[in-house]
Amino acid sequence: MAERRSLSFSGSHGAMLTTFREQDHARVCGIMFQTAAEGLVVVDAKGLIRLQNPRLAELFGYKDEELVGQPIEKLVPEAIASGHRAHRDRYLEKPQQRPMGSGLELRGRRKDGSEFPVEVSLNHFEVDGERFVMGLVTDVTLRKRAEHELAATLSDLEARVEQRTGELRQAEHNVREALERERELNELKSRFVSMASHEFRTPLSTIMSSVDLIGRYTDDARNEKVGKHVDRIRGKVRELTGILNDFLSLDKLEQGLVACHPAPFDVLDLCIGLIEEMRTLAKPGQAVHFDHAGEVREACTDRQMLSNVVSNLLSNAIKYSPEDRPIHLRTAITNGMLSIQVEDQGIGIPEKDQVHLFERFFRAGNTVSIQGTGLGLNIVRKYLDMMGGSIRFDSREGAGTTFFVEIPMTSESPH
Amino acid sequence: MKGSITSVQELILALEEGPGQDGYLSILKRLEIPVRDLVPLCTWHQKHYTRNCLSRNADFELFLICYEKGQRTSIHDYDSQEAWVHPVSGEVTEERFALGPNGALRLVNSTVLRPPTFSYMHNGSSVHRYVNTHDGRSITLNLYAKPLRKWKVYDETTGDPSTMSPGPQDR
Repeated sequence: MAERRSLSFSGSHGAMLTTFREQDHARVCGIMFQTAAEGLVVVDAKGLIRLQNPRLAELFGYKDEELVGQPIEKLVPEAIASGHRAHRDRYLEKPQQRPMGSGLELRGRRKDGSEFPVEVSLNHFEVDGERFVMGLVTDVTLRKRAEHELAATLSDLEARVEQRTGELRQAEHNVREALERERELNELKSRFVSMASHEFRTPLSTIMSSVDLIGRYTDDARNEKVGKHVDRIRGKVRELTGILNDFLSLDKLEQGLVACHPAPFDVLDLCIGLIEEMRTLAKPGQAVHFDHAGEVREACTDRQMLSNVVSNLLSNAIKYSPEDRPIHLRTAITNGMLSIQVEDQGIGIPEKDQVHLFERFFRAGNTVSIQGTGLGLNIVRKYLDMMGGSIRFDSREGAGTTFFVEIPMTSESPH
Repeated sequence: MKGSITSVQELILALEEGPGQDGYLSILKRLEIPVRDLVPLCTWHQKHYTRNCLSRNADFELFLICYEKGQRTSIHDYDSQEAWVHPVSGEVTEERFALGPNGALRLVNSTVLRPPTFSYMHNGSSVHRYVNTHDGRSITLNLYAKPLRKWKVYDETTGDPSTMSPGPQDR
């Protein structure tokens, strides 16, 4: 009886499952070689295939045994075949059991020239002093496809996450902006309420006191004094009307109810008319000088808006200047641009307030005792924006202010 | 001697021909334009007088100045070399002022102007004012040669306060 040597195969629970006689080893190994699910190839030191299993032939599209005696480079893409020989030689110098091409995307070449992704593990052995290398070849096409699909899915997911993150950031930004606008509105509302209560209360108090006094006069004293108080009432009502007009103008501008209608007109006629109308605002000794430079005198812009701008600047100059100080209005039309300067020698604007000058309801710190809504310059700027113009100023507290306005002359409105 | 000028168009044409040797006054003295022909060219404002330009070129400008009852101009002067004021309807009082050494204004002359008189100013050196003293509307025809480039308004501490609203208020 042949010596029984056992090959033990242990199952997962450690029991001895079967044993083979030694003479059966080769047959079993042969069966294993022939039936393995992976491709198996044995290559000699010259790189010639000495043994291959059916699976290998199947993977690469060859008939059984067709590859025996062929160089292993037949199974390698042509582009790298020559380099593969050098790899083989290097491996044989220091052979070891290891995966082939670690970190590389290996590809096999079929008989028909097509390529497919593979993984290869290498091992080596000697038989009768001759060295051989065994390769275990696995077709990883499906796995690679799955990997690519997974990568694509991950990439798509990342893109969606990024997009969503962007949307959330934008939403956060919008919310912050909305909160900031609300804060600004609240602040404006507070300033408006504060201004309105003061600016309305004062003239209304004056009106009420005049009415009270009128009621107390005897018949004899009535005629002369009543006239004086009626004038006071008239003046204060005019003030209130002016304040309300400011609000209405601003509201119309902000609602977009005002449009710019350019048309040609004589700028000197407009300015002379304005300073004539405004003469009653002047304080004792305040002269208003107007002059126009250059020959061109026809302007083309919205006449009413321009009138509002110049009126506002002139009335400010008068209001914030002391007696006996002149006000200068200068105009010129050069290279299609109307330039306007309004210069006064008044109280000027404190430097720290200058940056806020065109904000709604803003009053400079040195104007507390002077009546005003804080809307005029805001309205002026809005009008100029609509006319395509600009405004800037130079001011020194205690010395005076000069406003510089520039308005491009436009084509006449189709209206 | 040339004939009467009976329309605004004729007046403008005559002015455009130039003053000639006899000057612009000789043209104005030929005016016989009916007031009814001027009225359509007038504009009126409840709160202030109006300046209505009829014609302008490099040498002259012609205005119709329209006053409601009680309205007046500012106390002003300007840079025109010559100026004529010709009442065509109603009556205006012309007041001329002088500037004192301290800049104060002093009334030096007051004249009632009625049609068909003319008032003349030379070199724009006169500080003056017009007041509608008629019991109704008044109209003057004003001719300036050359057209105005400068206009200076003096304060009216001696005048009656008017009741005009200037527009947007303040800064």
